[in-house]
Amino acid sequence: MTAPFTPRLKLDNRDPRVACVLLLDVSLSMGGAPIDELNRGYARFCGELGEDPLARKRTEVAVVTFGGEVRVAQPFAEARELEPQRFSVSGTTPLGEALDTAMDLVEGRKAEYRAAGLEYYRPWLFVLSDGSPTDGERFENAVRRLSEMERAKGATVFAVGIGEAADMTQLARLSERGPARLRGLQFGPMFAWLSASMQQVSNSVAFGPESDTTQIPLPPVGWGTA
Amino acid sequence: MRVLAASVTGAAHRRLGQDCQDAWASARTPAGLVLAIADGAGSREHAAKGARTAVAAACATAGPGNDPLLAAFASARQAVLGLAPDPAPFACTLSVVVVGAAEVAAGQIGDGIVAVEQGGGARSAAVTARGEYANETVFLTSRDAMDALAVERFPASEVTGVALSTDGLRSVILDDPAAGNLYEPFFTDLWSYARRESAAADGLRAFLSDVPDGTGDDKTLVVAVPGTTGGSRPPDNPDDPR
Repeated sequence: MTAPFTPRLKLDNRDPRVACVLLLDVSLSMGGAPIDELNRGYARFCGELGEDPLARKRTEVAVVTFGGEVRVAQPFAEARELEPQRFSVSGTTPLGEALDTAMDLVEGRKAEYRAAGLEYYRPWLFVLSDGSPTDGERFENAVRRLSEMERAKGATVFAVGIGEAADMTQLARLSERGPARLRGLQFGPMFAWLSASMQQVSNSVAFGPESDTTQIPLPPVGWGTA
Repeated sequence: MRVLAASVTGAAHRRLGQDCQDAWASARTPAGLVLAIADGAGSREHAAKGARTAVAAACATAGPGNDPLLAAFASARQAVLGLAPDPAPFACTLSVVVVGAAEVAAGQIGDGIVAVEQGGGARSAAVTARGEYANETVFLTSRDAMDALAVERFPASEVTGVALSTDGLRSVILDDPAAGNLYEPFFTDLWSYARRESAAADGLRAFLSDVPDGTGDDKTLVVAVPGTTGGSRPPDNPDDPR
């Protein structure tokens, strides 16, 4: 008769973290159907991420909105604590300042993880814009800082253009992987994809140092075109 | 030495209908007892085959003359690189312990866990350098794999038990995953279990199947203590595990 093996286990280790910052364009041109669909999609994102047993504890989401002014609409919170909110539109597109704010958030969060002895995965920056950045020089500096961060594998950046007026040339400068263009106003499917992707990352174990997230099998992008 | 070992497919891989991407093997060679575990990279197509190839090759090499531990790694790497012109789909980690008459040598590429019982306590052996992120590791197939190989050696007379685990258990057998410290009570209980007459690989397997690991990853545990009876037999054919 085999003796059962019932060792003592360490059951209170804290989960590793993956930080995800959403940069949402809420400039005036997003008014009407686009902002309504964006709000609906964000609520879906909060709901779906909050239901995944691992992602709800591991994913930390922050939201930076840019429309006239840049606002941290959601400071970092675990997905299980995330509450949907409705964003409203105003003003221009200060994307450069929004990028700086998001990078500050990510760098600050990493420092907090390290101080707390928490393991973490590579953070995500997810940029949504329907126009052109309106803060010229600030934007140029932010792009340089972001490229440096991405090259050092400090974060994974996704850029998504919304509608015909989205400046895909500028968005292309934000991400090594190239921007995607949202198909119509399919914010719902896009946020569902983002939630599923964060679930994949939360569940991921080992990936090679030469790899980036292209090797984490992300779900297919049905909501946009490259 | 008495060897007990088991691998189980994690819940996440079972859900996706995937094979167990962990593998283990052991062999009694002229250089001593060789124990090897490998964890196939979850995102790679042929990771399970890579892992099985690596442990089989590691256990087939160790002969007298050369440094048996380094020979095991060289041969495992060669075997996996030889599977295809592009070996990336076969990526896996590899941890090997050679229990020789004079020394116990431990080596690792990647994020496995090796523990040695020494002076009544558990200490981690051959811990590899880690990157910034929790899910990054070096694989046997990586270009700089041999530079990333961590090796540690102990006088055989001081070692009273060894244990190897893939990272599927790390959240419950490490005290502080970020620092990589062992949770010593687990290893104390593991070695004391392995010394019992009624201990068997089935006991380990039942434990691995039920442990609340939080991730659903594949899990492998190999333990060796002095003694000769009741050990596990590795799969005869690494391509066709039982």
